Amino acid sequence: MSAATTRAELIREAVLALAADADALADLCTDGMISREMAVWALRTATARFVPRVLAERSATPDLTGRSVAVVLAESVPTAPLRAIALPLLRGASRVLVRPPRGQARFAQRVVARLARLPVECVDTGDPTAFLRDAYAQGVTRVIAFGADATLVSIANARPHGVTVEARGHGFGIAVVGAEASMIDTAADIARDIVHYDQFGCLSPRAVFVQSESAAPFAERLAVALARLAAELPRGPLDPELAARITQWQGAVAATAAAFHRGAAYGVAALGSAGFMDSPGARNVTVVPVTDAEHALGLLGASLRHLTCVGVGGDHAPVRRALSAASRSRVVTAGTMQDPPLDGYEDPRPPIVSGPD
Amino acid sequence: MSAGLDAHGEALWQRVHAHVAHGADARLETAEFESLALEIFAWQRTRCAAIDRVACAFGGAARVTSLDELRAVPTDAFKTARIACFGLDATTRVFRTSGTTRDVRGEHELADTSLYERATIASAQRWLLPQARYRFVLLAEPESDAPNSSLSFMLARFVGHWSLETASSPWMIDDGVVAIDRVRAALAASSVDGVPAAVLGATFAFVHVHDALATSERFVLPPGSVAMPTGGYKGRSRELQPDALFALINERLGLARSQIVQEYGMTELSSQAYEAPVESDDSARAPRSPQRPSKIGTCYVAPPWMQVTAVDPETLAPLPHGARGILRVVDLANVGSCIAIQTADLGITHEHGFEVLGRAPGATPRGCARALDALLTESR
Repeated sequence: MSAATTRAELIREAVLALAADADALADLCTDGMISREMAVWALRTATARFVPRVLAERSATPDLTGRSVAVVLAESVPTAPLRAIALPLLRGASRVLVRPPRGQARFAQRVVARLARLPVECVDTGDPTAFLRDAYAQGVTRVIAFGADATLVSIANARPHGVTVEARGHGFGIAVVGAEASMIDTAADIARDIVHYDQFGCLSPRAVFVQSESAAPFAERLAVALARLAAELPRGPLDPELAARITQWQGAVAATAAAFHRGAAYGVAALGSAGFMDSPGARNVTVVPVTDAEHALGLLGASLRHLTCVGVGGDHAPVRRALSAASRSRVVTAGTMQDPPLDGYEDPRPPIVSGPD
Repeated sequence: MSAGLDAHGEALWQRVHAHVAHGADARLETAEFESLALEIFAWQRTRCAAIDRVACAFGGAARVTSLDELRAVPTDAFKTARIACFGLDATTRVFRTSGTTRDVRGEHELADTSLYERATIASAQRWLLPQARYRFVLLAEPESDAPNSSLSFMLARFVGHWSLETASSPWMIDDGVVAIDRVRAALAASSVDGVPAAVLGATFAFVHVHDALATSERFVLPPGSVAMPTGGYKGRSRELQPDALFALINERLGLARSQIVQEYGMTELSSQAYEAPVESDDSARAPRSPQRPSKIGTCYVAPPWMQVTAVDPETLAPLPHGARGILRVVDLANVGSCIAIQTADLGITHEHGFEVLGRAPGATPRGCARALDALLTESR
């Protein structure tokens, strides 16, 4: 049995144990400020992808063999540490040092604890600079860093000679609804994509583009679907600042929207004309009328490079055609945006690599 | 006088005007306030579609029958919609929120500024400028250079009402730079002749004055002098904690904490609230709390035509005194725009005033939210 196979099996064992760990659920609730019901869904979904066949595939090209790797995690969905920690191990890293995200350390620490039979450890320093300085002193030659652009640039610029940095920045998702799609079914699907992780993930749809002259009918159905899901997957608690931001956004949008639907835990605005308006998350979204997929993607402007995923109601082909050949954004069926295959990181975009291969 | 409103609006405007004319000392009974507020808000919903859309979104289409039910229009709505109850051709003044050229700025239109002026003077007379005359040292752009600044408008009205006759301009910002020699001359003049100085303006400008003065330069302003830093730092100077700012003003101008009066106002309002001392001759207006120190507290007091309520950040339902929430302001002087304004400011109300706690500190946006805001802003 090869080392890779053993490693894949150990990861599989750890993930199975994690999936049954009640404390892991509690960690997700605390780290992600999500409801218990959401944590149950999140843990089940995130761990289910770690099946032997896929783990074997991910182990098949161990490009990090012999390398000591540092993983700098950032605020994200609370299950993100699972892939971020497992993947370098599957890629053959001889050692993985993990710096958990600030304020979201519990689940990362639990993942590392479950992987205790593998060469991975959590180093919980407050400052990524200090963490990396110590990591370099211990022979780390590869950094996989997640976070905001400014942080990633800083890490890349400060790397010593011989160190490679893979920078993975933030991104966002959108949903596109083709004219041929069933409005009711697609609304239910997109509602799931919005509700999962309370719309705070890098795959979460921040806007919905509907191939239609009017966004109002779809917006109404989406609001109904979100209201229904609120009981099954309650929204997590909001801190006062976020709640205040949501109120401001809802007021600003409601003042001009063609229609606005507001519930205890959601806000859906049907815009009267095409445009891209950001959302504060927490199940707040605009529905935008567009002529086609190309129109929708065109409205993103320079933001397009941050697009990670498009959830599609209807035919995927127009969306694939509208995305440039260079785009690596996921194009998936609406309702599945938050359950990406274990083909790599959740965000499929290639990292920005600085340094030697 | 005409406020550019329809007949009903004019009548409401006159009623508010009458209350404001009684001054900030007068009483406006709660029931009367509520009745007038609800009538104005209902009328505003018929005159401004944006107000009605927001009201429907937050509280439903039915007429609001109590202030407890009232769901105010968030300040950000002023960025996306015209919040005005008169035609475009009646607009005589537009106040804009501050921000960079890339930011979308909120706009507050007025057809008639007389109510705004009267309200501003009345409140300032009660809590900021009780003396008969002042030598003004205005750390803000002149109104002529900043016609969209509500702060400059307000300060210009103060000058018109209280200014000592003098050939020198009270405006101390020239082309964005503090005219330190003129500041120095005005402060020195008051220190010598005993005329109370009113040093009013942008918070960051106080820091600029401090930095521009020689290290040892001090002024001892005469009794009755006052300082009013307002509007925050806006990234235009280093930021100081409040106590450090007060210490700086005390050090340079010889003003005690009791002579530094903070103001609570915003572009979207017509009225202002001011810090009032805990010790006050008017015991009915003074905020009281057994927890508050016996010297000056940090409670704001609003004039009788302005009501500040803390509401639950999620449900927007009013909270009892002492509970933390986000502040909702009902400003009757906003007859021409919207009297019910929902801020994003965290605060607590007390029986006779309210505290502003700023934006919720240290709240960490979840997931990709903050970064997304930034990257989308960069992409625009």
